[in-house]
Amino acid sequence: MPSFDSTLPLLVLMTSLVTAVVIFALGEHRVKTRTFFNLLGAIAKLALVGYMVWGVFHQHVFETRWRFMPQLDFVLRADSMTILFSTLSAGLWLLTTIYAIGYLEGSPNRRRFFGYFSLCVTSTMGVSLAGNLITFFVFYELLTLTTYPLVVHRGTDKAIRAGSMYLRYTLGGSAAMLAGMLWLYVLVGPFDFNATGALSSLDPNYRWHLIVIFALLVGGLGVKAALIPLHRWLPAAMVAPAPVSALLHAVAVVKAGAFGIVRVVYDVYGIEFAKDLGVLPGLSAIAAITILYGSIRALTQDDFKRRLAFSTVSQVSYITLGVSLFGPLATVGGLVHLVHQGIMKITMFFAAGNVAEALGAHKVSELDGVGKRLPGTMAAFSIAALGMIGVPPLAGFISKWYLGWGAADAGQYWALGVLAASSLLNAAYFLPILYRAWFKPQRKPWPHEHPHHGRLEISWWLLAPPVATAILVVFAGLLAGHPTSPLSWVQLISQREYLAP
Amino acid sequence: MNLLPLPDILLPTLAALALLGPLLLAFRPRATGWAAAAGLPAVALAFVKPFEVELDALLIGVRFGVHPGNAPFLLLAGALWTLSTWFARHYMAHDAHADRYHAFHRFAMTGNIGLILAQDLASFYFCFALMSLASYPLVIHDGRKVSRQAGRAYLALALLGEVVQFAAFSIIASQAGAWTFDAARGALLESPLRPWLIGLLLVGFGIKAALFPLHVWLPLAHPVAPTPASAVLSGSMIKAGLLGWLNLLPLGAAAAPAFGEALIVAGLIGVFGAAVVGVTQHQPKAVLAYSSISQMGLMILAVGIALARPEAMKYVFPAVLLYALHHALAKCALFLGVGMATSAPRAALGRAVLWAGLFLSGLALAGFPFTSGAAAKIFLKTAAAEAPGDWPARLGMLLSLGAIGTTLLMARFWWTMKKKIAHDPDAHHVAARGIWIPWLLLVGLVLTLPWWFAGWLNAAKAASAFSMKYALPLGWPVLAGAGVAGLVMAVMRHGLRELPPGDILAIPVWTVSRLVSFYRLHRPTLGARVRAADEARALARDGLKNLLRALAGAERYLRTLGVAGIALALLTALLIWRLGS
Repeated sequence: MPSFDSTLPLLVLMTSLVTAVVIFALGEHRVKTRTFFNLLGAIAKLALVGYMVWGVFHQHVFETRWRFMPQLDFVLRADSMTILFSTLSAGLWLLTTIYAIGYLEGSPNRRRFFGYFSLCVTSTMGVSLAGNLITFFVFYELLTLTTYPLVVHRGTDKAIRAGSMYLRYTLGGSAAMLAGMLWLYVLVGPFDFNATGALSSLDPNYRWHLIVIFALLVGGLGVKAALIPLHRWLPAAMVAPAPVSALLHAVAVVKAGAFGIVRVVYDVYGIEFAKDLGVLPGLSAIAAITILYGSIRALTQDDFKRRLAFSTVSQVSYITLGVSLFGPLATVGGLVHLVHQGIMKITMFFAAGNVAEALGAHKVSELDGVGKRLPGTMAAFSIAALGMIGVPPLAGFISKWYLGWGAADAGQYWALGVLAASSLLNAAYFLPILYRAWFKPQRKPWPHEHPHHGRLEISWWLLAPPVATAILVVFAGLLAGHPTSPLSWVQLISQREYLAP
Repeated sequence: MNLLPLPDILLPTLAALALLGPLLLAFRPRATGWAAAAGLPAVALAFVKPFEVELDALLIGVRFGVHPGNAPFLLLAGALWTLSTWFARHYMAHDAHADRYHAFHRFAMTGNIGLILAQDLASFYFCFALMSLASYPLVIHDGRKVSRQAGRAYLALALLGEVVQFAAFSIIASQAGAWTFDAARGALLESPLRPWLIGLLLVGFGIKAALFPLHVWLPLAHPVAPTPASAVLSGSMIKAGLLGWLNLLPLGAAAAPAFGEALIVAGLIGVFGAAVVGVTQHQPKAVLAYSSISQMGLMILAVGIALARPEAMKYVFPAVLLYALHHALAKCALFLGVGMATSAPRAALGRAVLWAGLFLSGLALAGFPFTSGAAAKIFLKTAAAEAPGDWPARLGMLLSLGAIGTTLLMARFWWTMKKKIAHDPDAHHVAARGIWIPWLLLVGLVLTLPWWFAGWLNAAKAASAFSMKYALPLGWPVLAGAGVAGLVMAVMRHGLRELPPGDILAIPVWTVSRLVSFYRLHRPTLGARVRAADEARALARDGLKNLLRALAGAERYLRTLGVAGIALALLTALLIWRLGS
């Protein structure tokens, strides 16, 4: 019998996988049972991940390894990078499940929805736990396939079109990634993420091979990370129901891409070697352009979720920028943004969902006076939006501060200009929303108001998640210096794995 | 200033009280009774011995403290916020959005007091941003179009200031390897990037300090806010930029002659330009806002002197502190006086007292002999005498001319106030009698507190303000200004043509509006070109579409069969098998 430590990564996957199977097996109308299993799975996973956090902090090794082909291992291992991503996913999965239960109340096809929803989280967990490139790839692909039914869930023409666009982009990306991966295996054979130096010892004649492989891998991952010009599926995919958008933008898909880029830079190539190869400036340039382009496009979007989507395009590239600037501080800024962007953006999508659900308002121009009608929702949204701009003491401020510090530290002063411009642009497209919500009186009746009878502005299933994430946004920033903050964990990562001599 | 002997254990408590008091009250805007008392801990902190508190868990490590450089700022901010909160309690009592006002008033107060206490870059930045952003709802409070436009200009420049500070702080931190002001000042001295950093700091803080030409938001925003907010904007918050410079610029340690002289020139442009534009204003609060720009010009030029010539710092430092305190109190009294006028005291005694207060505060601002402004001017002249090159001679004359300008502004202010009191369109705003007490207290402070502080700084120099030696040099500009004002009023009975508030902002606004109308005029031809480009793009897109249609087939297959479902089943089986083995 394998030990508990070597089974834990599998168990973490199983919590949501079993939930998915159970949900598919249950009938469409078994709402209460389904809710029970959904929450049970989410809480069990959170507990397991919590144990994993404790274990990794104390240098435990959690590894599941299985040789399924000669020389080819299927490896699930929890390192400190894993913890960063899987804690985020497990935490936000629980909240999004709660939210989705409230959001989809009474709508059809909920079995399919929640089934794929759980699968999607399984894949995300797999991505975070993957211990080598092939395992990563398997889960990364599974993620594509399991999110597709969620994107097209509504079944409208627009949703189907968005879904097909999503598949075209992501499958194209996968092809590039697969090619890069196979090429790499031909050159150096299989190796785990924690085996550093596998590439740097290669014959210098293969230098150009490695550069092209880097481009293939990052290009493939860049689709999900919405790097320009591979970002177009993301704004289209916002037709999905709000909880899906919340998950796509904050945790699952775009983060899997960004996380993959981090893995490739640090664990496949190694940051020093990537720098020697000279591939980092190109990556920084693309990230910088994406940051500015996404923000500029967001300025003119009247559709609420579309504006948020372009904002995601911009914000996720902070992670790539931080990683590619080369330097411990910028890395801290980039990695911590993985978590910070997640909690901020999920708050915003929850809020957008509430506005759509309660009032039928989908456009920014319909938001006049919404703060009075949905004060809790819009307060949460405001906190997240101010955080995105980088207003202290919120989470986004910490990311931006470290990115700026790191850029200066690495002597890349141009990046400060990008960050400053991006902050101004963020302000220019988020502050008008806040202004409309809080300072303008309601002009027209709401497009489709669903009356809610109760003490709260909207059912607590829908109100609690954004309020909870908004509180996280405040604490992640205000208490960034505390040992349990995301920032402290990222500093642990940078000390332990990457920049230690 | 170490006049209040408190046990060490109480000092951090007092600092926490100074910050948490207004912060918690911001969440209880209806609590107005004793809210003003929230400013008193800050006043008390001005009198304790220097200390520093470290809180590593907050943000990325927070340092708060009191030292001789920030104690006067604590004093002025504590006093102004206390009295304006008190004033606002009665003044805003019948306002429809009073709760919103009180909440943001207190947030801004927290930020203002916090940035004075801050001893590291991150908390300074945090508090500065809190103050700036919380003031935006104060600026647009009444929701009029002119307020909203002013609010937009304010917010745009405030955010620009934030990001420039951010860039400066990032570079400083990377050079220093730490966040504390001590480390930052050291790093700034060593850094090869020093000129860049000084430039960024001048712009980043210059916006708040109304440094020409970054002042354009101020004459728009300060007058439109409700009166108690205008008073703290122009009295206390405007000093935040100045404090930022005192905290970080290498004043007294390294010379930056080019920047220093540029600051002196920019300060002088502020002093005189604001006087010229200000006297044409029709609204008393707009006149006062320009007067603030003019007065800040004096402090800016003093900082410029110290930047150009480090030896001058020991004269510049006390002069700037005293001037900041004196200007804050007088300007706050004048602004609140405008609010007093809207309650239009009918009784003759009330009017007499109001005019006496406005008159005394205005004379103090102009630096009339034997007023507190005279002491401030004497300190400033001493500092000006230490300026580099042939500046001392020039500045001596220019400062006197500046006093003429201030007198003209004050005369203009009194004139516009006279009209306002005579027939006030806002007279329906019947404020409670309660506003009298804070205002009278403030006028009392204007007359006393700067004297006391001047004496504490340098007793001999403060006493010299009472000697006849300075009566003539300080008195003639004020008298001359009064003469010119009388002459102008006699000749131009029908008033001056108002220059647009925001002055040079009118230039880019005009240019953009011309460009827009040019574009509208020529849009038909531009449009044709845009359409041609669109068509070319559409053709390219069609080609791609055909290629991608094949993929669509594969996708339909995925949708019908649910490949993901199969993959799921396989994976489950696989993992269960692994778990068992």
